Amino acid sequence: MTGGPAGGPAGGPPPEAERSDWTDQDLLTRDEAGGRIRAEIAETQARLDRTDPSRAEERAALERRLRALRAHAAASAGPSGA
Amino acid sequence: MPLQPHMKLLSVDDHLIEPPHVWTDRLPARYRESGPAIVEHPRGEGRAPAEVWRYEGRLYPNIGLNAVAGKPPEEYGIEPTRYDDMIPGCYDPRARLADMDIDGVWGAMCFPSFPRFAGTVFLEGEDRELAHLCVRAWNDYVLDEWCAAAPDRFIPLIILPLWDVDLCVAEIQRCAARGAKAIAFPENPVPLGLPSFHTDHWDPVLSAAEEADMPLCMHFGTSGQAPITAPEAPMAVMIALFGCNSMYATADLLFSPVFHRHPRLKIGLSEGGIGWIPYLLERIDGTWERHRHYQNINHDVRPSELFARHIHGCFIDDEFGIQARHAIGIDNITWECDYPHSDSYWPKSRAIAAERLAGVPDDEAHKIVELNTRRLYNFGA
Repeated sequence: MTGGPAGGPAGGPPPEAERSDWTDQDLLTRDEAGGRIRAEIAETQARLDRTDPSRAEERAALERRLRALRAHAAASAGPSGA
Repeated sequence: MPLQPHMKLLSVDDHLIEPPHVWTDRLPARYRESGPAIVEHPRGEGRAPAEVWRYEGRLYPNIGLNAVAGKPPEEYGIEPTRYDDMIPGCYDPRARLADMDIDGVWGAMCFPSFPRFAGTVFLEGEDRELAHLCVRAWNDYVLDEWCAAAPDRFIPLIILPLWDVDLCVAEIQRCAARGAKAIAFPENPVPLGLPSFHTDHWDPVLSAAEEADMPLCMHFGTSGQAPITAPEAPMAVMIALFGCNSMYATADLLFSPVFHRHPRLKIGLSEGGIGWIPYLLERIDGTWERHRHYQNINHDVRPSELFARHIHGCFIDDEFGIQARHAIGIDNITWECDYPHSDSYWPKSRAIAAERLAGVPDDEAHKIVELNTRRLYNFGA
């Protein structure tokens, strides 16, 4: 399962033919992470919309979370805007 | 509300992706060519070349492991990726902190990626001096750059030159003096061509870890042996069985001389989950009761007592484990989030942890998410 000797561009198996030591290693790429942040923003906004105005403390917490999520999304936007 | 705002989530199993300069900045000039460096590898027309590690002329595809950019989970696969595919939190400690903030996570201990989770890639080194320098360079990177970005939030974990016990001891002592808190170690050295836990080979290393009070963290997979049942079995079989490697390590260690020779040694089972622990301890104790008399194993201490003293596990999402927390031992459970792997719940790790721990009393939840890790890893508040 571990990456051993592999061929280079000139021949032999390409690195794609090799596996890293585990396979649960899919990364949070820009697209994946951007999608998760957008989903979290939408979910938090929906929760805020459902929260009664009388529950000021809960609404304030959700608003803080929304601001933080939006700031994070803006700061980490890549070339594609993800 | 067991997970209260003052409780700081500490993850004992996260990962960092090494930026390209880790070794090129640290190796002597004579090793710049053969030491680990990022090179581009063509992937065919219309596709940007992959960025892969080259080490002693060998290419390793796992710079950052596998790209899932734009893919639904059913299309996740295994292929190299590029740094610009990743979010910067993978390889930039300051970006990582911002990602932890949005995730509600205070602290993290990060395993290597290219060197593999216990640094075993350097066992493949043909030039042992270079391999040794590579191990030291990774540890220096972790201590001087990664963890230095926030010493109160990153728990420094080191790797060892596993082919040489004396070098391992020296590296533990060198890094402990510089603030390292934990050691990545293979869950089973045997598949790597190294002596087992049933020999005295590792005693100097284990004594050095005891002396430094640094747990050995055994991430599943670090033996290089995957739980594969058949060549044609779908990968789902292996993924479902990952935690079995931690079970093997537990039985192996509990029936070995390790804890009898090293009464202060601490072992962390990384990413193996915890729900299986009560069953396995019952099974191991039963085996000990019936079969210890004719075997070369300790006859005086029940294996479950050794577990309670020496081993801790961790979980991301383990409903059975949380229900069985008293059978496991509240003091033997830690929490992890596995960022930046896509099986983490980022950016809602804290919210998920709060849901899972909703039925757990405050004091127990606090131990699980923060206090046990601070105690086991000597990581002060």
